[in-house]
Formats: sequence, structure tokens, C-alpha cells
Amino acid sequence: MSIVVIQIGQCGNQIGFNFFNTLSSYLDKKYNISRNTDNLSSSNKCTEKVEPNNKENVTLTDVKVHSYTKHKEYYQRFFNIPQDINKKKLMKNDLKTKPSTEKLKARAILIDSEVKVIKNIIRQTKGRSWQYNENNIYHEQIGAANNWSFGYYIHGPKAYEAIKDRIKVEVENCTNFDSFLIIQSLAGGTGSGLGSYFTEMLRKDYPYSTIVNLAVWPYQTGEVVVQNYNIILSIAHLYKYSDAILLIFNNEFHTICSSRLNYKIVSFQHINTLIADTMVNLFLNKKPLQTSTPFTTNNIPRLKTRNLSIFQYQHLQQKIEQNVTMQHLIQQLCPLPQYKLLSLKFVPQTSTGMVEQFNFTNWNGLLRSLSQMALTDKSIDEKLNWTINIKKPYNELTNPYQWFISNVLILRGKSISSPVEDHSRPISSSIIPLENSKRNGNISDYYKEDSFSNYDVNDLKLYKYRDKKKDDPVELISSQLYFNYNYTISFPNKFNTYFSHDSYKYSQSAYLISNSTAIIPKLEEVIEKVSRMYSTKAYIYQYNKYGLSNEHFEKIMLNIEQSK
Amino acid sequence: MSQSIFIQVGQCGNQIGWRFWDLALKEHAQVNSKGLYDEALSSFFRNIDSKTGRDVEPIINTYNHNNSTFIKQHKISDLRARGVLVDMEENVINQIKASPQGFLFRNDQIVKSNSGSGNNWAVGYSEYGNAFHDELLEVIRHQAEVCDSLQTFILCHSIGGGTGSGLGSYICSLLRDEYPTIYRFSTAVFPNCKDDDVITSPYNSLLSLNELSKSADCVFPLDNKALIEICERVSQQITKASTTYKDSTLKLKKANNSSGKEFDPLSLKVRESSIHHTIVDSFTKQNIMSSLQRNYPGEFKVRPFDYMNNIVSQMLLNLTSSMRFPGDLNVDINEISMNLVPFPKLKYIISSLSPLYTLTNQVKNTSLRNIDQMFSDSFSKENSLVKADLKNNKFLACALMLRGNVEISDVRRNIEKLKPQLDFIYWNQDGWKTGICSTPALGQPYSLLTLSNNCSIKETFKDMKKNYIKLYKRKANVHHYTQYIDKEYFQNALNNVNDLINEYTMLETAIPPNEQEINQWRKSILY
Ligand SMILES: Nc1nc2c(ncn2[C@@H]2O[C@H](COP(=O)(O)OP(=O)(O)OP(=O)(O)O)[C@@H](O)[C@H]2O)c(=O)[nH]1
Ligand SMILES: Nc1nc2c(ncn2[C@@H]2O[C@H](COP(=O)(O)OP(=O)(O)OP(=O)(O)O)[C@@H](O)[C@H]2O)c(=O)[nH]1
Ligand SMILES: [Mg+2]
Ligand SMILES: [Mg+2]
Repeated sequence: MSIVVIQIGQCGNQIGFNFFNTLSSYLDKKYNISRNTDNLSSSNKCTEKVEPNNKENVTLTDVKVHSYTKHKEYYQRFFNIPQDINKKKLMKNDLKTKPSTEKLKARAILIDSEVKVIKNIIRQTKGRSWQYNENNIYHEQIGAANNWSFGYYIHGPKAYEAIKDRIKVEVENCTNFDSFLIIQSLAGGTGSGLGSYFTEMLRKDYPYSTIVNLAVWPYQTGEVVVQNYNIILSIAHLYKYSDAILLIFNNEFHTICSSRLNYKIVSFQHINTLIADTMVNLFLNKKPLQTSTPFTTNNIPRLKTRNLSIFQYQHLQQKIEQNVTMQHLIQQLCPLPQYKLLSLKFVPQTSTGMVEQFNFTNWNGLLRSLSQMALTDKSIDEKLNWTINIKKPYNELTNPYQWFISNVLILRGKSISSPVEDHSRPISSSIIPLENSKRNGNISDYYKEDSFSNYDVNDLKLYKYRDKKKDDPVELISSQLYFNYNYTISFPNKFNTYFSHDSYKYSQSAYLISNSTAIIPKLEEVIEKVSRMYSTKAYIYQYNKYGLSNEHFEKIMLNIEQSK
Repeated sequence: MSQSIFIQVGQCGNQIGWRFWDLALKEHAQVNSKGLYDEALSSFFRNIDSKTGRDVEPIINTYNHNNSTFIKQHKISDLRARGVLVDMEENVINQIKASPQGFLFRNDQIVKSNSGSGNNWAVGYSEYGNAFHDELLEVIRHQAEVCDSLQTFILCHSIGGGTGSGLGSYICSLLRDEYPTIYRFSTAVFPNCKDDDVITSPYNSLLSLNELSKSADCVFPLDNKALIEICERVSQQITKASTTYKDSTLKLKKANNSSGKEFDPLSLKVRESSIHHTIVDSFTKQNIMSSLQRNYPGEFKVRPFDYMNNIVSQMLLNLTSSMRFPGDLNVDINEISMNLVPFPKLKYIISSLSPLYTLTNQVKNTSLRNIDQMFSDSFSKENSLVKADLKNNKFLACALMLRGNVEISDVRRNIEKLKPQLDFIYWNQDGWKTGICSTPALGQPYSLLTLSNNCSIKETFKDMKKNYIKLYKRKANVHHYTQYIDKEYFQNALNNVNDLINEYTMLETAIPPNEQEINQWRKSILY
């Protein structure tokens, strides 16, 4: 299932670059695609000049491409694989005369209103095992001046017109198109304005596709004076056309870098690396499981005894087939179209060195923190307020906790027991839906009931492992200790867990994406500031200049207030 | 990459411009060791193919389908400034032409006459404005045509004399009419309010202010008194600094001279040009000059305004650095007015530089303490290029333009620290803008240009008004003006300055509406 990434503005491009970079080195390492191979072919600046009879190079490249193809499912999610190995074998003669020197190509579209940022990242892709498709680049000469209006009305249409065919090509190239992922900032003119325009146009041109916006929320102060205008304008537009907006808060990532990872000096590079790591963990859900995996014939009789209708069975089956797509995640997270602002929490937050040395983490500790972090809307695993408790009644002052619409928990780590292991399947990294809550209760309700009417396949192994392992996340979650949340509306599928054996950086890590009330105070703060500023019409003249009318602005304010 | 055209008008404008081009070349030479005509260089300089006489494009990346980027590189062949030199006296322009920087300018970018404006705004504005209207347009159009995406005109002039102020104002409105979409920034040297060398400067400056109010997007006022004080302070610091510094610079210089560096056109040209370097250099030079002058007579003539003009040039370079060089947080020049000018009238931006001088022993010391010092210094009275008490007046907005070895955490830390010390207007409590450019300024590992839209600028306007009224009460010299312009100009100029003073005073005293009022207002627009 392939994703087309669209990186917009300085922020979007810098984060996008870091993401692809992290992703490729992670995959290469994982599948043992030797760095040497890459270096060999890429160290020659102008690779076409490589001697045609350089046999070594041929074989190495051959191996590399072969590996890509072999692990196609993993690479294809975000990369275009240069050439199919089979095709190449057909043209063996050709191969000898012209060795393949192609690299992985990021399935990305790069857009900015100025040239320096894109130039810089293109320069940095040199000598790496992947590259951008340089046909997919569009930039103007003059920045959007932090002006949403400039980005939306002036740069937007021009850029979309110029690059839309490339988007089409990328979508058509996907064997299995999953979704668009747009990376942008909410504060800059290009990210916010042009990003809004692109989301709108993509919705028009691809009405049934999934569009996810990864939007960077600026620091509270200090970067762009008109950031609050830009946030409001872009959130309002994205809300209309996007399927989900995953918010990345710069100050949260900054604080994690400085107080948890102990960087004395924090640069955007540190922040972006952390964001990229997180994205890899979130989005690199592996290939769809074969349906047969959990549903071996052994299981089916048991299912039947549970009176699972054939319809339910099919439903389950289907779900497992598509479980890892972005579409699927978003379906879980945004069950209601009027709520689509997502926030993210994750653990652990220590430097990898520390983890390795002291083997700090255990699932119990991680999940305990993560659960409380989400409940109290703290992004940092530090000084959590443990007095806030879901079991006590909600109180704005003494016991304020977040309400949730839905959650997705992604666990990564070797020590996760899973039915895959159990069935001794050779798939090492798999993300499997662990459980779904009952129709309208939360997990705790679910486990209080002893009946298995809402039977889920994972219950099988859930019970199997219950006594076996002490620090098993499956058990921890099922034991209703953590993530025992209140939900604002009744809707099925409010809590979903996925896990993968495949860990990245940490031997155990957990990521929670929530659709919750946590965002409301932040939006309110922005609206408050916008109201103050707008009451004097400060800066508005510059928005008017490029076509934003005051009426439109006021309508947007109204929409935002209503959507809270 | 976008381009800027630098228009220097009058004696002051041309003298500042002279320093500006010199430092700009050196700044680029510092990072452009291969002598390539790159995009950064292209924003202020043209590159002319000596055979065809045509402009050569900067480095072009040709993207290649199956492989990495091919770069077509162009060496510097013949650099030309994207500048227009205007003066109604020939003297300074002739000096520039004869100087080591002279190669940057050709006659087709010069508009000059030989009689001067006699410190009379009206002569510059009306007489010369009309007379040179076509020629000015032609020269500017020529420069504009060779830009592939012109973004800004930077006007550099004094507003106390006749040519810079009168003709400068005229050019600014000409640009507004002819190039309405191109930004117009004015770097204007305001007269010294206590004792300026020009008697009529109060008239000239108010008349200019009125025109600039109408036609510029942003005005960066500079005050010669503030500049002089900076120079004096720096000079004292330098003198205090140990003699070892002197020796080491001398050694350094000698070493640089003797090291057989690879030939490259840019640095060669830079080496040819005079050695005024950074602010520091121009002062240390004072000390070491005598010895050097003996060896290289003639090369180290220091003109009286050079120190001050170096500071102004450094400000302009820092202002445009983020547009020319890459960084973690780029600031294109159009973001400046977007972030700092909340209302079109209130566009007077106070600039402060820090550190003002760097001693060699500090150069490598990038400790947090030094960086924090840089931030707090830039809000002190001493570092501002125009008389301003930033800390005791209301801010409308503030931009921190960082260069060099500075990261986002340094910015965060210092904004948090500064916030409680500074008074921001209620509707823009978070009125901060940040830029981070990774290419350092010459001779400084890190530096900060602070741009403030601060109510203290009204004090400057008040002084100007006071001086104006003193003069106008006696109707002194008015008849010299009314020969060329309508009397109304005087009244309008006075109205304009009154307006500005009022606006800033009102903002200074504005009381934030209470919660209720805000909510009411919110409802009123929403429902
Ligand atoms: N996390 C992170 N945030 C960034 C980065 N670069 C910029 N930002 C944030 O993005 C916002 C500024 O927007 P930019 O993306 O720079 O602006 P732009 O989209 O290029 O738009 P214009 O420059 O106005 O044309 C600020 O809130 C920055 O904190 C980055 O590399 N990482
Ligand atoms: N900072 C600085 N100020 C200067 C310089 N030259 C002149 N001034 C100031 O500029 C004002 C005088 O204006 P000039 O620029 O000399 O006059 P002009 O524009 O050439 O006009 P006319 O001589 O009347 O034709 C005075 O306030 C001087 O202090 C300079 O090189 N640097
Ligand atoms: Mg930008
Ligand atoms: Mg003169």
C-alpha cells in the first residue's frame, strides 16, 4: 500500500527529507542492503560515466536492486523501486553495457516558494541510497512571506497547475495507492497557504482518496508574528478537505530533545530527526498480513463455537487484510467527520544509549506513562500528574482529564508475544490488531463482561499468554490498568492496538495517536489571540492584498468556533 | 533566488553604498572560495560574460532523470553590482569609480550631475526629479530587466541634505508608481537632532518623511549620533584590548598576504579592494594603520564616515543574509514587512546590532553566556542604530535575525528570558519573528540583528518636529523651497509627522479591552 508524500514549505521539506532519510537507512539496515554498494555507485558524482565493463559494480547493484525487490512491500510504501529485477534479467545484455545505477526514489513531491531549502536537501541526498525524483520538484523564486493569503491565492494555483501531472503519475505508479501524506507547517505562508490549496485541490481531483496532513504547530511565540492567523486559516481549510490532521507540536518535540534526550543545544536537525523517527514508527506498518495467518483452520472451529456469524468473520478477515494502511488507521481514528485533529504521544523518551545500557524500559512502565500522558495531555514523560484519575469524577480544577473519541496504540518491540510467533509463522514484523473495544463501552467494560460475544481473534492469544509473561503488553492492556479512558461519544473501534516485532531505535516503544479533547485549549488560545489581533485589524491589510476578504476571514472564525 | 536593486542617492547614500558593496563582496568571498557565480551572489551582483557582454545565469542545476543532479557551474567572469548610483554632485561617484570597487559600476547605472542640491529638498525633489525623470527610469529599468525575479529596491540615502532626501523621495514614489509590486525599503540616515551640519535639515527630513510615509514599504531610520556613539564605544573597547591582539592581527594579515592561495577571480578582486573589513577591523586598523601605511601608502585612507557606514552596511547585509544564504529558518525579505508592519503607516523599524565588536580571543568562544549576552545587548540603548529606548517603550513587533553558530534552542531560551523584560502591545503579545541563517557575518562567528517596531521611534519624530517648528516659525529659508514646490508641502509634512506621533502615542497608551469586551466583539462579528 503506497503513500504519496507531498512536502510543502521549508518545514515540510526539511521534515520530509529527514523522514525519507531515516526510513531508507532503517530499511537498508534491516534488510542488510550494504551501505558499501550504495557508496560505490553513488560516490562517482556522475555515475553514468562508470565504466561499462565494471563487473563488480554490476553485480553489487544487481544485489541491491534484488534486495529492494525482495522486500518490495516494505520499500514500496514510500519509495519507487528503480527497476524490477525480473525485467532486468530479460534485458541481460543490456545490463552489461549499461549497469543500473539507479537508486530508490522517494515517492514525494517537493514544493516551496523559494529555492534555497529544496536546493539544500537535494544537495544532501547525494551519496545516499535514495534520491528524490527531480521531476517532482516545484519552486518559485520568492517566498510566501509568512502570508497564508499569498500562499493560497498566488503561489497555490500556479504550483498546483505545474505539478499536478506529476502527482497523477506518482499515484498511477503505485501498485496499490493508499493515501496522500502532506507535510507542512501551520505558521509559514507556503506551508499553511499553499498547503491548504493543495489539500483542497487534491480532494477535488481525488475525491475518494485518503488525505492526511502532518502539520507542524509553531512554538507558542517567537517565530512568525502572524502565525495565529495562519493557523486558523489553514486549520479551517484543512478541516474541510482533509481526512485527518496529525498535529506535531514544535515545543513538545523541542522539550523532549532538551529535557529528556539531554541535548544542551537543540537544533532543528535534532527536532526533525526525532519527528522522522516517530513517523517511521507510525507509518511504516508492514505489509498486510496474509489472512490465513491468524485464521488457520485451527482457529476457525473455535470461532465457530463462539457463534461468530459468517458475516462477522468476513468482517474480521477483511480488517486484518487492510489493517495497516493509512486509510485503516484514519478510519479508526476519525470515525466522525467533524473531529479530525489528532495528537501524538510516545514513549520512551530517553536517549538510545541510556536504554541500551540500563535496559530501562519495560512495558509496564512505558504503558503506565503513556496512558497518563494522554490522559493529562502531557507530551513529556516527566513529572506527570498522577492524582488525575479517570476513576474519580471529572472536575475542571481538581481532576481534569481528557476525553477521547478514539485512540490508536502502536507497540513496537521484540518482546511482544503474538499469535504469529505462536503459529511459528516466519513473518518477523507484523502489525496485528490486538483488540477492539466493545460497541460502546471501553476496554474495561469489555473485560468486565465474561461473555465473548464481541469476540476478536486476538483474544485467543490474549488469554493464552496471560499467565505466561509478566511484562507482556497484551496482558497489561487487557488488565484494564491503562488506557482505561472515557470516550465522549459512543462509537465502536475507539481503541485499537497494533504491534510489531520490529523495533526501531528502542527495543520497546509505544505510540499513541489520539483524537481527543486535548486540542481544544490550544485552539482556544489561538482563537483568543486572533480575536485580539483582528479586533484592531492589525496585519489584515496584507492578507487583503492577495485576495482574502474580511468576510471570508470572519466566516472562518465562525467555523472554527463551531467546530471546537 | 530573488534579486534586489540597491539605489544609492546623494553623498551619504553613495558613501554608505561604497562600504556596502565592499563588505558584500567580502562576505561572499568568505563562503564562495571557488569563485563561482552562485545564486547567493546573484541577488546583489550580476555576472557579465566578457565576450558577449550578456548576463550569465548563476549556477544552474539541471536535473537528470536517472541520476544525481548535474551542476552547470559558472565561474565569475565580470561582476557588476545590481546598483544604481545617483548624485547631483560628481565627487563621491567619481571617487567610487576610481576606487578598487569601481569595477562594479558602469556608466549605464549612474545618474549624476555636477551642481548639487544645495541642501534643498525642493531642488532635489522637484527640479532634479523632473529633469532626471526619464533618465532615472531608464537606468532603473535597465537594472530591473536583467533580474529574473526582482523582489526589492533598497534605497539608501540621508534625509537631511538635498539630493538624498529630495531626489531620494522622488525616486521612491517613482518606484511605487512604476513597480507597485516590488518592495521598497528605505535606509534613511536621519539628521542629528542636536547639531546637524545642515541648517535646513529639519525641513528636508520632514518633507522626506512625508514622501516615504506614502511610498516606502519599510523605513529603517539611522541616526548619525547613535552611530557615532557606537563608534566611540567600540574604539574605546578596542584600545582597551591588549596589544597582543594587535600583534596577532598583524601576524594574521601578514600570513594571509603571503599564503599562496589558489587563484580565483572573486577573492582576487576582493583582495584588490581596500581592507576595511568588519567593524572591528576598521578600528583595529586605526591602531595598526600607521605601520601599514608606511608599507602600503595610499591604500588605507580612511574617510571620516567610513566607520559609521561600515555599521550601516553590516546591518544591511544581516538584513538580507537570510534571503541570500541557506539556514534552518529562512527569512525572505518580504517577511520583514509582513511580520513587522501591522499597519501600513507604522513602518519605521529600529535596528540594533550585536555583538558590536568581536575580539579575537572571543571569536572561538561560543559559550552560551556569550550568546545570551548578545541577545540582551541588542535591546540596550547602546546597540541601536537610532536613538531608542526599547526596553521602556511598547513593542508592536520584533524580529531576531540570527547569523552563524546559533540554534533554535538559543532563540527559545532568550525569548523566554527577554519576554518579561519587554512590553508588547496587548494584541501582539507574541509578536516575535525569528530567522536563522547559517552563514556567519564577516569576522563574527555569530551575530544578531534585532528589528523592532517600537513606540520609542516617536521620540525621534518629536525631535524632528521640534526642530522643524523652530525653523519654520522664523520662516527661515522657506522661500528657497517655495520657488520649486507648493507651500502645501510644508503643511502636509507637518500633518504627517503629527499623525505618526499620535498613532504611536495612542498605541503606547492603548488599554487592552477586558475579557467581556473581547467576547462581545467576538460575538458581534460571528453572529
Ligand atoms: N519542526 C520543524 N519546524 C520547522 C522547521 N522549519 C520551519 N519550521 C517551523 O515552521 C514554521 C515556519 O514555517 P516555514 O515552513 O519555515 O514557512 P514556509 O512554509 O516555507 O512559508 P514561507 O517561508 O512563509 O513562504 C515555524 O513554526 C517553524 O518553527 C523544521 O525544520 N522543523
Ligand atoms: N552616516 C553617514 N552620514 C552622512 C554621510 N555623509 C553625509 N551624511 C549625513 O547626511 C546629511 C547630509 O546629506 P548629504 O548626503 O551629504 O547630502 P546630499 O544628499 O548629497 O545632498 P546635497 O549635498 O544637498 O546635494 C548630514 O546629516 C550628514 O551628517 C555618510 O557618509 N555617512
Ligand atoms: Mg519558506
Ligand atoms: Mg551632496
